[in-house]
Amino acid sequence: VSRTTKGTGTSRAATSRDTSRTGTRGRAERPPAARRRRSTPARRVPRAIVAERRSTTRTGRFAAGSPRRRLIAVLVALAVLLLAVLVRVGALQTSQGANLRAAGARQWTRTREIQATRGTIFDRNGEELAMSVPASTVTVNPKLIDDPAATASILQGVLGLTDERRAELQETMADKDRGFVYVARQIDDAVGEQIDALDLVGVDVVSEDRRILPGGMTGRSVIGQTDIDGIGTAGLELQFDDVLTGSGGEETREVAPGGRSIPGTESVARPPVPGDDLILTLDRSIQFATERALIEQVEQLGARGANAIVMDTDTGELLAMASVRRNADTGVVEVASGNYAVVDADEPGSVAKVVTVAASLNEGAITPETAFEVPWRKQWYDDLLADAEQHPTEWWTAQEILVHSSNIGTMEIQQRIGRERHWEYMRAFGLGEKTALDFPGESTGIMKTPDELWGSERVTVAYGQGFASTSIQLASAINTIANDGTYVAPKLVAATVGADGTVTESAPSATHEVVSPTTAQEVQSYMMQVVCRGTAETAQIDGFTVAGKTGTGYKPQANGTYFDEAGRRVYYSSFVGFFPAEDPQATILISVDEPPAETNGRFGSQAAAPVFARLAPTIIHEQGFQPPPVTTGCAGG
Amino acid sequence: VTVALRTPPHRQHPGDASPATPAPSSAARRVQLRVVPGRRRAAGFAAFLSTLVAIVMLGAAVLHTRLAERQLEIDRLERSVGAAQERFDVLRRHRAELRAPNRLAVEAERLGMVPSAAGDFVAVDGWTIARAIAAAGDLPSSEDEIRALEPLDQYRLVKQVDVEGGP
Repeated sequence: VSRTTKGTGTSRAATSRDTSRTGTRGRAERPPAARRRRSTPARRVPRAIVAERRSTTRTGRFAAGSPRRRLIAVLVALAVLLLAVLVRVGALQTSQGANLRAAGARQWTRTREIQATRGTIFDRNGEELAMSVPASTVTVNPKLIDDPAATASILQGVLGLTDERRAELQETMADKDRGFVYVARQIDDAVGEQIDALDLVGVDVVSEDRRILPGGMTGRSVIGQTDIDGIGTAGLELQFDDVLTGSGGEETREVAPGGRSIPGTESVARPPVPGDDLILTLDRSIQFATERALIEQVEQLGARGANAIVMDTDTGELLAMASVRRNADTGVVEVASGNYAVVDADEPGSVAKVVTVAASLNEGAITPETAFEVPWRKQWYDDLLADAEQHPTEWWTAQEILVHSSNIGTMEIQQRIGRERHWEYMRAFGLGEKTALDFPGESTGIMKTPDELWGSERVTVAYGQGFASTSIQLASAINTIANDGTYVAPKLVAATVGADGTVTESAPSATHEVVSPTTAQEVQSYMMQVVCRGTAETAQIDGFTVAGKTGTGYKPQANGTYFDEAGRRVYYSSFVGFFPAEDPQATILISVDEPPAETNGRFGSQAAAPVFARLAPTIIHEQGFQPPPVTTGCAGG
Repeated sequence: VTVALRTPPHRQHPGDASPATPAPSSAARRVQLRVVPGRRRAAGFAAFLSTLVAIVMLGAAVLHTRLAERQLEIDRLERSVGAAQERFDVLRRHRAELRAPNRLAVEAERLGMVPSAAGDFVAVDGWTIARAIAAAGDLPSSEDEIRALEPLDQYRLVKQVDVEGGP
C-alpha cells in the first residue's frame, strides 16, 4: 500500500510541476510532443518495483496477463451462466411449469373421484322419505396382488363370501391384465373399516353412499328407486335425478413405490357439491295410513290392487299418493314399485257423471229444477243401455240422477249440452291430458274426440264408459268441484333445498276456472246427498259432512271385451269425495282394481267408499282439520 | 483498523508571483496521518444489516411456524366438522327410522294399542289453554332454541356449514 501511494504521490507531484510549466494553456492547445512529455513521468516506475513485478507476475511463457481482464472475463462468464440459469428457471416455472408439475404429480399421487351426496327426499314435515347414507365399497387391483389365494381367503372371512364367490374372486385377482375389480359394494362402514385396517396390498376401501328408505316401503311407488350407482331409474328419483345428483369432487393421495397409499397424505383437490334436496307435499304419516288402508282393503276383498290420492283442495298439493298391488307369485299385497295412480288409465265409471252434470248446469242447459224422464234402460244407437239397478220410470232432477247414479239420466243430461261441448268440458276438467306432475311414465289417459267416438260410446262417455283416465286426473277433476269450480293442478314437490341450505319454494299450481262457483256449489250439494242418502253412505265420517261420488267401471281386457277368460266381468271401482262439504279442505280418491265380480264388493260403494271413511280420521288428525262452525250435516239435505 | 496515508497537495499562495518557488522544507513534506472512519461505518452498517436479515429470517420462520400451526388447527377443525357431520347423518338416519310410521305402528300393536274407533271435537276457550300452559311452565327458553328447530331446519343449517366451511 505504501508503495503504490508513494508512486501516486510522485506522479501527482510531477503533474503539478508540469502544470506550473505549461501555465494556463489548455489541453487542446498542447502539442502532441508536450502530451508525450507530460505523460512520460507518470508512467515512470522505479526500477526496483519493475524488477519486483517481473519477478512476481511473469512466470515464463504462461503469464496470465492483466488480472482486471481475467476478473471481467470471469464476471461475464458468471453473468452469462446466471442468466442462463434464470432463463431456464423462468421457462420451467412458466411455459413448462404446469406440464412438469402435472407429470411430477402423476408419478407420486393418485386421484380418485369423490361421490357427491345425493339429495334427500323429505316429506312436507321434514321427515326423510329417501336418503343416502355412508357405506363402503371394496375393490382390488389384481396387478398389485402377489398372493390372490391368500387375499381372497382373507376377504372371504371378513365379507362372508361364499366359496364360489371366493374362487371367482381368486381367479379374477390372478388376471394381471385387470387393474380394477369390485369385491363388494355399499357394505356397512364397520366392515369396510375392518378391511381397511388389514392394510392389504392391492385392496382398497372407498366410501360410496347407499340409498335407503328409512320409512320402509312407505311412499316407494312415488319415490321410485336408484340403481347401485345412485342414478334414478324410476319415480321421483328418475324425474328429479338432475336435481338430486350433485357434482363430484376429487381427492388426491400420495403413493409409495408399489402403489401403496401413504397414510395422512389425502387431500381434497376439488370438494364435491351435494345434490339438492326435495321437499315433497306428501305427509309421511298420511301416506303410510293410506297405504295401510289400501292393503287391508285389497286383502279383505281379494282384489288385484288399489290406488289412492289425498289432495289439498285449495292448493292441489298431494298429501298422499299410494299404489298397492298383489304379488302374482306370493299373493302378498304390498306397496307397488310403480306409481299406478298416474301410470294406469281406467274407465272411471259413474264418478264422471259429476263432470257431465256440472257442465250442463254451468252452460245453463239444465237447471236444478229440470227434471228428466228416466227409465231403467233405454236404446241408444245399437245398444240397449241400462242403469245398474232396475227401477220404475221416474222423473228425476240432476240431483236425483246423481244420487241414484243413473246412467240413463246422465245421458239425457248430456243430450242437453251436446257431445262437443261436453267433450270440451271434460278437457277443461283435465281429462285426456297429462297433469302438471309430468311423472315418469304418466299416462294421458284415453279420450277420443267427439268425431272419433263410435256408436253408443258417444253417450256412454257421459257416465264414464268409453274413455279412460288416470286416478290423478280423476281426483283433480273432482277437486275442481270441491275448489268452487277452479281447476288446480296437482303438485308433488313443494320446494328444493340447495347445496347452501337455501330453500326454494316451487311455483304455485296453475289454476283455471272450469265452472262458476255457483255451479260448483250446486254440484257439491248434490254430491253431499250422494253420501248422505245415495250410493256412498259408507263414506260418512263422524263430525264432518262428506261429499262424493262412487264409480263402478268396467275394465277392458286383452281379449277386447270387459270379460276375463272365465267369462266374468272385470271391474274397476272407485270413490272420490271431499270434506268438510261446507268448506272442502281435502279431496280423496280411492280406486280398487279388479274387485271380485261375484260379490257386492265390486261396487265403488263397497270397495272404495269404506276406505275413505277409515282414512279420513287420520287425515283430520294429521292436518288438524276442525269441523266448520256451522254445519247442517246430512240432516240439512 | 487501517489508515490511509495521503500527501497533502502543495499550495501556492496568491501573493507568491515568483515562478521559482523555493523547495518546501522537510517538515512541510512530512506525510500527515489521520483516521478515516468510513470502514467503521461500513462495519456498523454490515452488522445492522446482518441483524436485520437475521430478524427478518427469524420472523419468517416464526410466521411459517404459526401458519403451519394454524393450518394444523384448521385441519383438525375440519376433521372435527366432518366427523360431526357424519355423526349428524348417522343420528338423522337413526331418528328417521325410529320415527317411521310403520315402526311406530308395529311397536304400538306390540304394546296393545289400537286405532281409535271414533273421534270427537271439544271446544276449549283460550284462557283455559293459557292457564294450562302457564301452570305447566312450558315457556320457551334460549336453551331450547336449537332443540326447538324443526328437523328440516337443523338439516339445512348443517348443510350450510358443509358448503361454507367444510372440506
